[in-house]
Amino acid sequence: MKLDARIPAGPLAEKWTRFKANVRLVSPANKRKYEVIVVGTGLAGASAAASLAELGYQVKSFCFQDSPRRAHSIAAQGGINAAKNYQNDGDSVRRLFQDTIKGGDFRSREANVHRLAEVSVNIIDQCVAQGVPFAREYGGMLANRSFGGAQVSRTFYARGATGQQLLLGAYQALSRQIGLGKVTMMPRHEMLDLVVEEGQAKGIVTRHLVTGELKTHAADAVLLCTGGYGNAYYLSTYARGSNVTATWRAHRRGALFSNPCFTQIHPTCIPVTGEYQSKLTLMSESLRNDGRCWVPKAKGEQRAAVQIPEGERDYFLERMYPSYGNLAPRDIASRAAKRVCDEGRGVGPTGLGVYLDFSEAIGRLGEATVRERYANLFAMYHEITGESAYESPMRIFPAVHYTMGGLWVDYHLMSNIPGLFVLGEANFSDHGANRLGASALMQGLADGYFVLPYTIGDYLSQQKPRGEKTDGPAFQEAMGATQARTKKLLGVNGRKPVSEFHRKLGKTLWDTCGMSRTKKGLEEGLAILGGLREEFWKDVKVPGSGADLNQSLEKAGRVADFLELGELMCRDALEREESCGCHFREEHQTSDGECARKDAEHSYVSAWEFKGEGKSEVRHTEPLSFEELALATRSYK
Amino acid sequence: MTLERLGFETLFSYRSGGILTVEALESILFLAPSLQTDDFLMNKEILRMIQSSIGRKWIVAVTGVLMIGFVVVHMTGNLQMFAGTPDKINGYAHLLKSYPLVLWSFRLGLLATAALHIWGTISLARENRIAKPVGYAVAGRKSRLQVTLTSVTMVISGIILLGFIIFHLLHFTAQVVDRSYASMETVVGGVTMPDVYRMVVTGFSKPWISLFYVVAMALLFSHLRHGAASVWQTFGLRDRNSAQFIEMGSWILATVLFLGFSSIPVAVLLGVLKL
Amino acid sequence: MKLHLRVWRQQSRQSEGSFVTYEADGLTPNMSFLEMLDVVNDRLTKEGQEPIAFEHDCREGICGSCAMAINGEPHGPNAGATTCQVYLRSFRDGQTLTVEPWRAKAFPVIKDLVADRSAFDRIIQSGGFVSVGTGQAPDANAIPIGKGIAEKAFDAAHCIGCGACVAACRNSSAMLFVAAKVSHLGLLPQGQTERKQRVQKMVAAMDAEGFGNCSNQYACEAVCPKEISVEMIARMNRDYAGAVVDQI
Repeated sequence: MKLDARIPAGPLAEKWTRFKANVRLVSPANKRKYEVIVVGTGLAGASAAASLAELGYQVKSFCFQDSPRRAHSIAAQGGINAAKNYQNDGDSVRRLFQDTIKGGDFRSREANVHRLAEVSVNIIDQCVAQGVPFAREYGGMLANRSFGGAQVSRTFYARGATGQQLLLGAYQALSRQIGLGKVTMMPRHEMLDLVVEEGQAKGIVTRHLVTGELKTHAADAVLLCTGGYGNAYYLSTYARGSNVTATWRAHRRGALFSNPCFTQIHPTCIPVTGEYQSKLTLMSESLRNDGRCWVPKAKGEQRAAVQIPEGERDYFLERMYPSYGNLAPRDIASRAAKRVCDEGRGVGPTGLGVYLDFSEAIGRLGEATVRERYANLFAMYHEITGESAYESPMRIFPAVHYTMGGLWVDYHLMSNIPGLFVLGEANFSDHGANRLGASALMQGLADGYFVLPYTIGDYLSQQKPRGEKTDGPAFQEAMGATQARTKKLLGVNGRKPVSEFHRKLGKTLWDTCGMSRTKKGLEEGLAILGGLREEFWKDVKVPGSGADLNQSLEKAGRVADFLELGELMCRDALEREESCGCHFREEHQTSDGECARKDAEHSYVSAWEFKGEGKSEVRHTEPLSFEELALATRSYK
Repeated sequence: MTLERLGFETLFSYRSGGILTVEALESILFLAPSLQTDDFLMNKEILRMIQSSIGRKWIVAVTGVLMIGFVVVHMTGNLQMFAGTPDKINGYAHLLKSYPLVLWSFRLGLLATAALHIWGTISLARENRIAKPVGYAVAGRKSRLQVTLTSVTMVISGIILLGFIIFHLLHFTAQVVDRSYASMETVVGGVTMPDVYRMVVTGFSKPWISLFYVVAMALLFSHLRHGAASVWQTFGLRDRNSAQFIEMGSWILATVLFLGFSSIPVAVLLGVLKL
Repeated sequence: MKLHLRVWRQQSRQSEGSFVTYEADGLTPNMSFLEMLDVVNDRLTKEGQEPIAFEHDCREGICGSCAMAINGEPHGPNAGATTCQVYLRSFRDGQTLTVEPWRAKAFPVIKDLVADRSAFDRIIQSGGFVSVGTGQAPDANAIPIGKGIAEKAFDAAHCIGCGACVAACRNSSAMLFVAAKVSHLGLLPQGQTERKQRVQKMVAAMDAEGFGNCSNQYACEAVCPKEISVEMIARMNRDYAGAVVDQI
């Protein structure tokens, strides 16, 4: 299969401008004849639905939550990048573009990333106009903070709840369109299948989560804005409901899945405390400004942290990366923590944790200053663990927190199925093998507010409005398949709750396709997952019926898809015989244990094609060419 | 908006002897949308806004403040009982009665105020009951849910106070509780006038009446402790900084009123005030 | 650690509900309250019973999904926390916990501990926004906003729409929720143009949804996981009066 990314011709910096100037348009009078389905109401989905409705399209918006405001974008803490250069510190579109490409370890598309950097400035304008209360300086101007992977201050923030404020801005814009009758909002609806009619995406099948009603919805285009799939790991910083079902169902209908093994693992999270644990909580990266990471030098150390003398502590990040020390980038810091734990020197009851120690900072700055800087984080830590980080060091451990992989899209954000567009974290497009902090929010809003509203016109202008009829064979087939699958899940009637399978899947992925990967481990992982999937369909227990609110059924469907995805993640990791960004293959490392990228063989985007039940997926590749930036090796020593 | 439309014309008409009809009352209550004016629709919107949840809260608060003003003045007047001579309070009562037009407009205004206050609170409270058809099986801790006795008993304290006011009017104004009041007269400075002082002392000499008055004043205390603090919130004048002063102020106001009013029956029973 | 649970079970919106008792055993104080429910639910599933339906998503106190009253207290015993942020160390070993859904006419129970809070969405749809289309915005720094104003607007905007204010209120009043949005947008220069009509429309929508009226007891503020101040309600009352005067 030839993957055409449809990147416009011309110099990189002019591609988007030229594209906009030449893109085909739908006339205002005709826009209202087109229906667009938007699945998901996070930053990408809500912003796209609102913007399309403002343009005059008929929009149907779906989310599985009880309200569009609850999408998981709401939980983003740190901030949103934009090349505003308000700090006069040398920022520019070009620099944001460079940082993002480099941060992604040269595994993303130059043209997409440059466009992202270009529209980043419009996002901030738009959000401020909506009433997003960004942090301000005393003079009333917008404040910025610095984030990893950049040498400029370009991150806009609203305390520790930037995602919430941005999402509420988009939610309010969406609500306005709902109120005006231009968007039909369908909360508590889960998309369970994509309808592909004559090769084009023309609708979806949903289940109403309260009544259980399965229904088909037709449209002229379908937008998936359904987020990432990190919950495949069971334990992650994702919301419990985040799932891959919408994109996975689209994948099974022919949409290619790109770079599934690219998973970001964030170094500073509160470690697991027991089997029952359901969720990992992120502690802001900013803590590493003053906290020092260490583990005991001796294995099996039993003493409490404060009783271990200075000489018996290993400040491993400072030792391994003397120039960046505790501020080494996310993937590097995470791997280092894993390494010392693997050596048996991890701390805490599970041995999976390292200390993040503020005693030196408290000694140097005084407790009052530390309190002033981090009080809310220390309080959050105390709330969860019951421990005071003022008295003894915090325990932290890396956790899954974002997925760079997703459905393959071209420059138009359209997948290989015409009419199926994929936005935000659900697509693979902008972050390569590692995402920089504060760039996820930027991408979601860029796609929804400023990219898709242009690119969708190009597609729709070539389509005849199909109307709302859903009686075609494609719709019936998709409906039948969904009914059968629901029935099958309810009919297994085994012994084990869904969560047991999910936990096992998560543990397997974490162990074999987590922070570091080996051929042997991945092959073992594949074997375990194959068995687990079989076992699932034999032994899962889904109580209740399909005719009302049944959270077990919802979970079962999602975990069934995660199980299939898990195998694909392992296969992708197996076939990418190099290390890059988050993807660390132990076979491919430099003499000092860093990523060894193989640009000659692996400078591509993998794109997996579903070939049918029980058949192996086939990998296609889209080669990446770097015209503007020279491929370089990252070093943080 | 002209004064006419505000209903001043109607007000004026019964000031000069007109009869207070339901229509007239309504036209005052709802700022009299005149059906003839071309901006009728706009007025309808105002009417709707006034009848909204917040609109009625404003009505309750404004009327509440007016009545607080009244009771403060009333108490100040009553305290003339302690002037050392009955002539003081008798003269004061006589003065009030010598301007019947003022007195009656004041009384009717007060009646309308009370009517509005009651209409507002009852309609709000009815909606509140409907809005919470089922409570929690286990009551949360009062400390967590900010439950205070005075705030949760506003309707009860209000209703009992209404009963008290009716009794009070029958007692001293209509004088039907004790028929002998009508014949109690005194002469001050050559002018014959009702002997209010005697009426009060006679009335409060009966312990059950005194007790009833003191209990009612305790309820007034309770009602105002919450009510006087609440008006600031409804008027939008309460914030984090002023909250503690407002709470303290309502305690002081309610306490002063309680002590001021109750002092009279207590003083009578203790024999401090006597004939 | 062990807990006795009395959980409200209700099959559907139409059906009658009742309390069912469950023993939760083998718990640890570091477990979250919702993780304890997960454990109970897995056991119920294995026994072939339907697990307790409850809403939850982010489990870090920001999405606003989780919503239940523990011993009559919305979001449980701790100030400034959502249900998902309650850990078992907040309870005594062997304690009896009565767990109920939000109680309010405007939030009908759908199943077990799940209530329908869509009334909040409809209130926002009535006017809880700034009418600015994508692409219409001037430069973000074109209008300076004082740090204090921005902070205050954030305090209001931090509302997570969980509905605890309504659940805690004796009158099921939604004033704190509505006031938070009215204040957030009313404080910022961007929200001024529509300020008067916004408060008017949102209050009308609030009234139409069947919420009760504020009687100034401030239980809402006490249980709000984001500790939003009732100052916002005062501000809304003022804005509303302004809107009435404007009509005149």
